[in-house]
Amino acid sequence: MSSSSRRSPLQQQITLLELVDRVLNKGVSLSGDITLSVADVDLVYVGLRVLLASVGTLEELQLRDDT
Amino acid sequence: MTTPDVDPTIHLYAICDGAPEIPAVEGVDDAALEAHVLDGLTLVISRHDRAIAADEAALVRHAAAVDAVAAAGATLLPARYGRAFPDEAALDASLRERAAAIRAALEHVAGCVELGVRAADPKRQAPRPDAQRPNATAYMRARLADVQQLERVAAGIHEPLAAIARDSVRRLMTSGRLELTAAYLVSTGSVDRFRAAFDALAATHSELAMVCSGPWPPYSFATLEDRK
Repeated sequence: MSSSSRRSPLQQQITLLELVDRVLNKGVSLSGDITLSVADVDLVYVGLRVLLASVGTLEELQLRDDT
Repeated sequence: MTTPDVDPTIHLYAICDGAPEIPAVEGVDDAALEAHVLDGLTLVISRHDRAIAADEAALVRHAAAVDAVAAAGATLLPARYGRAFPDEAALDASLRERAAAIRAALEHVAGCVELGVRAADPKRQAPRPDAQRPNATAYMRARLADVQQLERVAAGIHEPLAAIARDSVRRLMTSGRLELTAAYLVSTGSVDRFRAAFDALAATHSELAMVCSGPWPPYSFATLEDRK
């Protein structure tokens, strides 16, 4: 549902970022046992920060290409 | 040899209205999806004999399973990752505790998908205290004017899109570099209209990097806090 053909690398990166953001931070939350430790969440977000850095680079590249 | 957590757990993917068909796809850690029916709702779950992974691949698997259930036509609320239930009794108790809010949220999202919008201006910079603004008052005025201008740009993008949506949420970072993150709950019949409106906005804001993602299951509209 969230995938589609003919996406640019920028769109693919942002789609992954949006996916992780939704799955970790949105959605219905019932009162089960929390299974993600602080360390786990940190690890996911370390990965996300790397991704964010690359998204920023891609945005700059895209803007440069457009001008 | 270390002993991993061997307590069995139930992982929840989504809460569906009614009794939709559950597609034969594998969930997190290759576990099969199962339907657990309670009080007219169907919970999509998988069973695990140890704690499930918490890495990017597992999150993608969770999302893919939710996508598959939604694609099969279910009205659903996706579940947030990172909660587990020791058994059905614990799951049922937790669900019943919030049953009214869940039913209201299911009614709210019925017939809709979520579309995500991000807009960013990576080259933009906030005003800084400098020789041209030698005192704090001048700097604060410049900063306020800058934030107001960011708000205007963000409203110019958000409002026409929100008008097409049943519901919307937005977050705007105003620390200089514009970053708008928004989600829209859009009826399936209006998705093309929404995308056309987005494309028109992206064309008028050539200075911004703008991306429309989705359609997603309604993650951003499955939070129960506002619907208790």
